[in-house]
This record gives sequence, structure tokens and C-alpha cells, in this order.
Amino acid sequence: MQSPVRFHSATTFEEVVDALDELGSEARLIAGGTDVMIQLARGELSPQVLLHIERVPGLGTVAAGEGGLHLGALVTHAMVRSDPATCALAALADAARQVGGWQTQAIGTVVGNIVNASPAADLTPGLLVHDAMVHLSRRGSERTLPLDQFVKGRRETAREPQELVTGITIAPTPEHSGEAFVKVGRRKAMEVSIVAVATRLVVDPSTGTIADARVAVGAVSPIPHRAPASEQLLIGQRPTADLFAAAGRAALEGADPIDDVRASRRYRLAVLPRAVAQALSRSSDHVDAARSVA
Amino acid sequence: MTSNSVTFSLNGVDRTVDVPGAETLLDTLRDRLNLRGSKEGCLEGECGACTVLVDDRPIDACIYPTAACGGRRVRTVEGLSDGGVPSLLQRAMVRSGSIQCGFCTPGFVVAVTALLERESNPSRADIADAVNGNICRCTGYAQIIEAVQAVVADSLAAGTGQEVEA
Ligand SMILES: Cc1cc2nc3c(=O)[nH]c(=O)nc-3n(C[C@H](O)[C@H](O)[C@H](O)COP(=O)(O)OP(=O)(O)OC[C@H]3O[C@@H](n4cnc5c(N)ncnc54)[C@H](O)[C@@H]3O)c2cc1C
Repeated sequence: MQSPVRFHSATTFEEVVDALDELGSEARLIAGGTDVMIQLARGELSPQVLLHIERVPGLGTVAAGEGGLHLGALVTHAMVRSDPATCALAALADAARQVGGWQTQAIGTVVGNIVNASPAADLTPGLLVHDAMVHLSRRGSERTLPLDQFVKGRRETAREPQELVTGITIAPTPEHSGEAFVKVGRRKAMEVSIVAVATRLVVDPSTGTIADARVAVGAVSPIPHRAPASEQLLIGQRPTADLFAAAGRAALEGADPIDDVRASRRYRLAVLPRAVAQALSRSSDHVDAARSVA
Repeated sequence: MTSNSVTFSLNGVDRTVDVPGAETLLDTLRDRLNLRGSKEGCLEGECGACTVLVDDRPIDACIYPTAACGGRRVRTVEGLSDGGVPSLLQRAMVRSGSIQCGFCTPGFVVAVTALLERESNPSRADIADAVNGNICRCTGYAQIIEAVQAVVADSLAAGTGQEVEA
């Protein structure tokens, strides 16, 4: 069973980009390994080298900076839950809290989650809501892509084999906003999402109407995506249960779920509008809560 | 060429092993180092029976590569009791009926130890959350959580902080 793969634990950034430059797709990057190790055991991967990056310094921090909040490539789900800057962002923190169990969250990285590009990657909807940008580096050059251009398909990204993702930046959160993450699974813990939804609402305090709306859905199509029909319906309106229900139904546009062992296509389509409506209602509550504190 | 010589601290003692690149820490512990306390359950990180601590973080040894452990501190359930004397937590689990078939028990002991090292007074919700990656098919979890609450109450009453490592 054991494939004769070489394991290289890198200790510097240069070592990683040099090795990627030399080996290209023969190298498989491994951070927490919670996806890679299972795919290896199942024979879905057969790299020559496992290029381990957990020891590379400088990639493990959450830092506020120019253009927003930067999450380094080694930021784990556990850190997203506990860091004061990210735990305030429910669309991310509540997603991180529901990735597998503690053992998964302790070492599984946010960047690994997006690069693995599962249709059910739980962090992707929240990152889409926050206009996440993905930073890639290779020897001698770097580039940045919006997350919605980075994820290309099921297990497919725009990353070149020579590139390391160094981190993600999320845009500053507007004032008067509230956000939420809703995951539908068969039980509360250790579940792959049947449907995942992240939403964010900005409510204009002077008019009480929705100034900006973000709805992103996962596990209902090969790529987690924003739901523009829902968003357009919400903007300019007053937040009400009826409006949220209508926006939920509008999210069916663009949804093309599969039947699998976890749920049928029919169930996913039935539950999606309700999950969206629930996420919107929680987002709206969070706007109100933030206002009453202020 | 495809094997790695890896030295790590195992329950306080430095050990060196020569392992293939993708060998899991669970295989190394059980088959090379003869520590069979960490159990082989699902082999996919789902059940938590193989939970060990690497640099104080709970991980599923069945999906973690040994070669990533060089220079790090690995602790298994064997290292949490004192020469065969069960820790306070282990005793509380026995007393409260947290153990039936016992297969999941080492994983729970390790995960809860990690919790108690971070948090001297965890809430019931914190405890439930800390063991959300551990599956028990016998007890229904209630007795396990009660055992942890009992240890927490005892150690707070004694004013000694937690002494789970005995
Ligand atoms: C038991 C269990 C339960 C799980 N439950 C969930 C769940 O509920 N929701 C969910 O969304 N996921 C879940 N997962 C999946 C997994 O934990 C996440 O996708 C995790 O975030 C991956 O991070 P990692 O660091 O472990 O990635 P790895 O396995 O190390 O890597 C994943 C992929 O990303 C690539 N990669 C990693 N880092 C970089 C980088 N810096 N640059 C370029 N490429 C990189 C790797 O080459 C690989 O292709 C679960 C996994 C397990 C084992």
C-alpha cells in the first residue's frame, strides 16, 4: 500500500519555491495533511515528493494590514476560531468551528481547504463573502487572484505546479454589517456539508434598508459561488422574513447539486432556500446586535 | 532515498525511526515502537481513536505523517499515566462508567488532556466541543462529559489547577 514517496520538510520559503520550481507537479505540497494523507492512502495521488511546509516561518499569522486582514498559508481552522480578528467574522469563524473535529481544526489550514477545492469546502463561501484575494508565489515572481478566479472546478485551481499559495487577504468589513454561516449536515460534528451558506448584510442605519448583500453557497455545484440573483433581490429592501425567503429561493439559480451518499439532489435543492433564509436572518440579527452595542 | 530518519520526543524520550515518506504516525507508534494504546479505527481521521498530541495539539495519528514529527514532542496515551498509575482523568472515567468496550477511550483521554492543559474550567459546551472529533458507540457521551466535569470540579475545589498528567 505504502507508495515510495520522498518526504521533504522545508524550513525556509526559498527552499519551497526552489523545490517547486525543480519538481513542478511531481511535488505535492503538504500542510496539515488532512486532505493529502487521505488522498494518498486512497491512491488518488502519487507524487514523487511530499513537500512539507508546516515549519516554514512567517506563514502562520493573522495580521491586519493594507487592504484588509491577511491570513498566512499556515493559519489553521483552530486559529480562525480563536484569533480575535477572525473570530469576530462569523462567516469564517463559524465555518472553521464546523470543519471536522478538533483534531482536524488543530492542523488543517484555511489555504489547504481552498486549494483542495472540494465543492463542499466550508471556508470558501465565507471567504467569497469577504472578497478574498489569493496570493501566489513562485521563484522570482508573485501574483494575486480573486478567490472566485482561483477555484476553477472540483479539485481544480488556477495554481501553477510551481506556485506556493502564501496566504489570503480579506477586504475590510464595512460598518453596520452582520454575517453568518449555516451548514447543513446529517449530524452536528464531523460532517461534510450537504449545503453550506455564508451571507453578509450591510444595513443603512438612517433608512433601515439593505445597502449591500452577499450570499455565497457551497456543496450545491462543482464550485462554491456567490448567488447574484439573491443579492440583487435584497439590495435596497428592508430586511424581513419574506424577503429572506424570496432571496433563498433565488439562490436556486446556479445551483446544480449532485446525488451522493450524504444527500440527494432533491434534498439539497429543497434545503438550500431555507439555509440561505436562515443565514440572512442571522446576519440581520447580528447587524441589530452590533448596533445596540454601539 | 525514500526513507526518512526522524527523531522526535516520544512521551519524554527521544526516539529515532527510519520510515517511508508517507508512513503514518499511527503505524510508526503501533508497529515500530510497540505502543498500541493509540487505536486504529477508521484510518481516515473520522473517529479519533488514534488521537495523540504533537506539540500539545491533538491530531489523528492515522492521517499524520511521521516524517513531519522531526524535532517535535509527541505524547500518546501511554505517556499520560504515571508508570501505569492512571491519571485523575482516567480514574474519573472509570468511576463514571465512561468506558464500556474501551476502544475509543485512549482517544478521549488524549483529547480531554489537551483541553484541560489549555482550560482549567471548561464549560460543558467546551468539553463537548473538544471531543467532537472522537466517536464513542457505547456510552452516548454523557458519562464521558460528566467524568471531565468531575475532574474539573475536584481540581478547582482542591485549588491545585488540573493534575491530569498525574
Ligand atoms: C476527518 C476529517 C473531516 C473533515 N471535515 C471537513 C469539513 O467539515 N469541512 C471541510 O471543508 N473540510 C473538511 N475536511 C477537509 C480538510 O480538513 C480541509 O480541507 C483542510 O482545511 C485542509 O488543510 P490541510 O492543511 O490539512 O491541507 P493539506 O491536506 O496539507 O493540503 C490540501 C491541498 O492543498 C494543497 N496545499 C496546501 N497548502 C498549500 C499552499 N500553501 N500552497 C499551495 N497548495 C497548498 C496541497 O497540496 C493539497 O492539494 C475534513 C478532513 C478530515 C480528515
